[in-house]
This record gives sequence, structure tokens and C-alpha cells, in this order.
Amino acid sequence: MKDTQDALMVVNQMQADGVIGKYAIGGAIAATFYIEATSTYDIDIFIHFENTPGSLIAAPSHLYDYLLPRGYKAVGEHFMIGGWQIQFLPAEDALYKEALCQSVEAEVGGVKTWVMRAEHLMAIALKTGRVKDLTRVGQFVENHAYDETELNQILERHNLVEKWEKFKKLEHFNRENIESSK
Amino acid sequence: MKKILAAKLAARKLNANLPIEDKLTMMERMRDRSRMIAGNSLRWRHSAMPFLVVAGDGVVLSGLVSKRLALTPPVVRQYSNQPNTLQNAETLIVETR
Repeated sequence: MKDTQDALMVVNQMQADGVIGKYAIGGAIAATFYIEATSTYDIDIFIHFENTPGSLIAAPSHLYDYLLPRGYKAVGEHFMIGGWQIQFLPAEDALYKEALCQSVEAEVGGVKTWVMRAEHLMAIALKTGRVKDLTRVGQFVENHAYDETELNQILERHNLVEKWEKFKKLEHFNRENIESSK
Repeated sequence: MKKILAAKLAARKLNANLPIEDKLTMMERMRDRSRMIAGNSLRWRHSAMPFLVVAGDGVVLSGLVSKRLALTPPVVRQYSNQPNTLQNAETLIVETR
């Protein structure tokens, strides 16, 4: 766990030094705060980043200017920090902005950090819609690791109710198939 | 089947309820293992060994063919009358000079 602590300490220092503002962990690492651990190579750090409209990856020069002289290498769109590939991503649409603003404080071995809420992670996964994202939604459901009322409100606000209904049908279909195979 | 699935689900719920520190330690190990597997030379592109099997006998054609890159890792094939011979799983395309 030392790798993760080291990485988060660097990110916190970046925040303290004014390089980034409020941040929240998303993706697989954030999901691990609520469900079982899964394999991933990177830590997704979502930040407010006003200067990159339309940009998929937050790769502003000031991130490079801060990290490279301190010995952290840039690999593609990642920075290698504490053994992890750290990706800084802009919270650019309404769902990501809300997820960032409403992220919750957490602690990892004494290091303070901020993590997206379970309901936002589910909504983002539904919106992204890759197989691995839907698998993650299924894990949240399986573990009852979310507040249904909260989730429904988020899904309504961000026009994701239809995707949720489709997902539930798929889940139902899968469960029926498992039942029939017994 | 029902019992197996129930046992798997119980184990996964147990994993989900571990402290975050334990789960992150697991993730770091999984990450390192994935990197190790990804970096294994068996996953790299290999030069195809100029080797041809003619009527069950291996014939090295180093003087006849040029090397080609193959996408699959080398495998060991056992022939009844030969030691294990490292060669590529793909059929070689022989190019005569």
C-alpha cells in the first residue's frame, strides 16, 4: 500500500502548492473503496481544469512543469508516481463536475484523499458503458454498495435512467440464465 | 453449481468488506503481476525460427529462408524422435532466396 500512499501524498502536495485545485479519485481505485479490489494499472485523478475545453486528457503544461523537475516521468498521458500511473483527467461535463464537487473525504493509511461517491461512480460507469464498466455496476449492485434513492436522483439529473433500465434487464437476463443452468 | 456460485459470491463479499488498506495492497500486487506478465518475453514478437518439418523430421533451413517476425510466442513441440525444439506456433512462410 506504500505505493498508493506515496502517490496520494504527491497529489496532495500538488494541491497544497496550488498546481491543482480540488480533486477526486475516480475509476477502479475509487470503486475499490466500495466493492472488491480489481486489477488496474492507473489511478484516475479528476480535477477542475478550465483551460482545456473539449480536451479528453488534462495535460496542461503546469502539471509537467511541476512533476518533471521533481523526477516523475511522463509516460503517454500518465505520470509515474509512487509506482502508479497517475492520469489527471478534466471533470468537464455536468456529471463529472458533480461527482468531483460531491466527492467524500477518505483516508488511506493516514493519508487524506477524496473519492467519488459510489452512486456517481455507478452513473459514470453506466454512461461510459464498456463491458468492464457494466461489470463494475454489477458489482455495486451485488454488494448493495449504494443508496438507491441517491442513485435514481443522479440518473434522472443526467439522463441516464434509460441506460439503467437496460442494464437492469441485462442483469435480470443473466441471472435467469445462471438459474436455468443449475 | 448453485453451491459453487454461492461460495464464490461469499468470497467476493468478504473481499469487498476488507479494509481499504488491504484492498489497495491487493491491487498493487495485481498491478505488479500484470506488469510482469505483460513484460514477459513470451509475449514479445519473436523472429520465426527457420525450421520446417518434413515427413516428421525437423529440418533447419537457416541457409534457405530469411527471418520473419511472427505474432505468436514460441512453443515447444515434442516429436517422437527429437528433443523438444523451440519453434513458432504459426506456420512459417518460407521464402527462398
